[in-house]
Parts: sequence; structure tokens; C-alpha cells
Amino acid sequence: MNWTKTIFYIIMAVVAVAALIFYRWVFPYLIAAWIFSYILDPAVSFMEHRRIPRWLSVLILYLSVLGIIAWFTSRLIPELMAQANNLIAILGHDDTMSTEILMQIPFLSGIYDFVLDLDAQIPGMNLGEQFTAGLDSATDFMARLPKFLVDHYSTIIGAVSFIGMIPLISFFLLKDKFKFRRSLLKLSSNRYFELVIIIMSKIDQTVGTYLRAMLFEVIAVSILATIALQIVGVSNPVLIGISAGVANIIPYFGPFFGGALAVATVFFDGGPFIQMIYAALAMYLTQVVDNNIVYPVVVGTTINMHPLLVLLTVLAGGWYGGILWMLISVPLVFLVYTLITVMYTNLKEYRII
Amino acid sequence: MKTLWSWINTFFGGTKEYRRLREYPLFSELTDYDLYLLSERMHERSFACGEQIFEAGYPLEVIYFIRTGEIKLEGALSGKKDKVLAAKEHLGILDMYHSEERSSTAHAMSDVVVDAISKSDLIDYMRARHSASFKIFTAICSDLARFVFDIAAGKQ
Repeated sequence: MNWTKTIFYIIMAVVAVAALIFYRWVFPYLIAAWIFSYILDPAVSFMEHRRIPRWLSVLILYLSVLGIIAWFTSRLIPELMAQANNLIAILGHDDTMSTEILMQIPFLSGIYDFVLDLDAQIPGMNLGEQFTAGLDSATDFMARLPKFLVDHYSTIIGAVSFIGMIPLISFFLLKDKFKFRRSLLKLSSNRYFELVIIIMSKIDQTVGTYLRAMLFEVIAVSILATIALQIVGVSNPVLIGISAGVANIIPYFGPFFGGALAVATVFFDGGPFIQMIYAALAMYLTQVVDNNIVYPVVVGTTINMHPLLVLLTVLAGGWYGGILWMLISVPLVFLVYTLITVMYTNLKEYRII
Repeated sequence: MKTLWSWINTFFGGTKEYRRLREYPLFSELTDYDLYLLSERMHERSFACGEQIFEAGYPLEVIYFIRTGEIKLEGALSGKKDKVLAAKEHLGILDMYHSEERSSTAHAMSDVVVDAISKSDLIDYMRARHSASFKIFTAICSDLARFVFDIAAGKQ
């Protein structure tokens, strides 16, 4: 046994563990910055091939993104805030929302009359009481909804300071992308060099393509849904459109959220039944365009996960970390799954396992 | 400042480490900036005498350019006898256009230093730099032609 070698490896392992403990707080920053740099990398590479150095490309991109954010803030945020308040007022109604007010909605009063009719014809069913009890609990939930939303938004606002660090770290990740890769590969022995390079390339390709496609799809669905809802006359189309776009990250179930939100808005706004159908149709058409044009062209391949696994992942994400984790759990599981598949296949091909 | 200076230098010449890549026939016609971009994607590796570089049947992801030393090739491309590749020659380009796997096994015959580039990186680079890729393809064709004529002349 080579004792010098063993002692060196032990010292290295201790240093690695100490480093992991010391830097553990910055891992979330690094992961977020890594994702951000993946999204911007094609644009940086595009400019680099046109003789613009990477550091300058990153600065140009940052200025462009800042410009877009500034435009968005000045033009869209006031409108968005107004729509958010309006939507919370519609869904919440605070002190004014009650079962009696709900009963004034023609659609609900129609159902209530029908239920009372049934009660009169079939004695002992008490469907009317059960219906009003159900409405009571629904109004109770709606009254608590704005507080629930505000609570989570405060968490999101708290994350803004976290977000501030991301562009700074991303700048270095983007500027010195090749330097970092070379340094990382230098650590690998000749035996594993090709394996590491192949795994890095495949992860680079899969993760990069997936993240960029996801971002593009969120933007595309938000715009499509906003336009569709605007056309059918649903109130707060921008906010519902953006919510639908973000929820679309969750495969299978995300699209239903957007549709449900649009229909619920018309419903609580006291709109006619036909407008609920129009709202549902608008969201359905958005999904048709997304599934048949945007997704196949942008993503190419769909997330190959069973709907049951998606449902369980979303639930587990929700239990683990609330709404944010519900959104990111499916892509995260997909990426981890891809990573393990790539590693397993290549370890087999290189006859290491 | 250092970054800015190195960028400016790509326009105005000077002693450049990446110019060394021009010694490889495949890159001999590339411009300085093309070489600079290529060098960012290259990895320097060293192999001791007798060390295996890759084995037939392994997935093909890396193209090697021999900087110093000699490499022995055994397999489909080695012909009747073992083929020995010397400095400035390359390994993997022909396999790259043939299959996803290595067709030969390679061993270092002496201490070897190589410049290695990932196949995906090279393809991405060639897709982005059309003029450079035309020059590289011309060099590959000339390599292939020499290989075919060598076979015809019974040298392989």
C-alpha cells in the first residue's frame, strides 16, 4: 500500500468536505447563476463568433436585459398591479363575499333552484343544505386566498436580494466558460477524460436546450394566452396569461391551472355562462398552438415522464417547498433523471461498470 | 485590462500560444481569430509511454491532435501492419464520419502530448464559423485523398 498516496487522498477528502461545509450557503446562488448563464450562453457565443469578446458580449446582453426590464416595469407593471388587485378583489371579496352574494350569480342561482327542485321531489336528500354548506366553505377559502397570496409574494420579494447576486456570478461563468471547463477536465485522469468530456457535453446539451426551451415556452404561452383572453373579453388577461405561462412548466397539469383561473375569473366576475366557455376555449386553443407548434419546434422532445410520476412529483414538491417547488420539481426530476441516464449509458459503454 | 488587451491582440498579431495550432495541417489555413476560438475549446493531455489512449468500441467523443510523441494504432484503420502516427497528425476524424464508436485501439509509443477537442465542440465550432469549416473540410478531403491513394499504392 502506498501510504503517501493514501494520506494525500485523505487530506484531499478532508479539504473537500471542509470546503463543501464552508461554501454550502453559496450553492443556491451558484445553481441559479448556472441556470441563468445557460440561458444566455447561445447569445454570448453568437456574439463571440462575430469578434465580440465574451466579457463584452455579457455586458451587452445585461444592458439589453436591463433595458427590457426597464421597459416592462414602466409599461406593464402598473397595469399588472391593477389587474392583480382586481383579481384578488374578485376572488377574495374580503368582507363583502358571502354565500348570499354568490347566490345572486345567475349560474349559481340556477343550480340552487334545480337542487331545491330535487329536494322537493326526493325528500330527505337535503341537497340544498349541502350546496349552501359547500358554498360557505368555498367563500371562506376565497376570503383567505389574498392573505395566502400576499404571504407567498413576500417570500418572492425576499428572494429579490438573492436574485441580485445571480447576474454577477453568471458574468464570470459566461466570460470564463471555457477556462472553467478546461480546469475541471484537468482534474480527470486520462482513463476518465473522454468519459467526463462526453458527460459534460451531453449535460450541457440537454440542460441548456431544456432550460432555454422552457423559458421560450413560458413567454410564448403567456403572450398567446393574453391575446386569446383579450379577444374573448376576459378581465385581467395579462395577469392570467402570465400565470398560465408560468404554470405551463408543469406538464399535463399546468395547462389546466391556466384554464381554471380564466374560467374562475369570469365566474366570480359574474360573467355569463357562455363567456366561461369562451375563456375555456381560448385557453384550449392556446394549448393546441403550444402543443402542436411551439413545443415541437422549440423543445423537440417532450418530457418523457408518466403522468402519475408528474402528479406525485408536483405533490412532493408542494409538500417540500410550496408553490415554487411545485413549479421546479418536475424539470428538476427530469434533469436529474437525464443526468443519471447519460452517466449510466456512458459508464457502460466505457466498460467501467 | 488583461482580457481587453488579449482581445485587441487578436486583431493586431503578436506572439500567440494559439498560433501553435496552425502547425496541424487541418488548421493551417485558419485565421488568427479562428485559431483563438479553437484554442479555447482545446484541452492539453499527456500520456506516458505505453499508456492506452482509447480502445476499439469506445464511444467517439474526442479528436486528438498529436503535439509531440508517437501513437500506435491497432484496428480497422491500421491496415496490414500497425500504423504509427507522429506529431502533427490526428486521431478520430475519420471515425467521426464513419461511426459513433472507435474503430481502433491507440497506445502511446513514447511520452505523448496531445491537443484534444470534443467532437460536439468541433462540430459546433464548424457550424458557427463557415469559412473556417470550409478550410478544415478541404484539409480533411486532402487527407482522405492521400489515404485512398496510399491504399491504392499498397502503402497501407
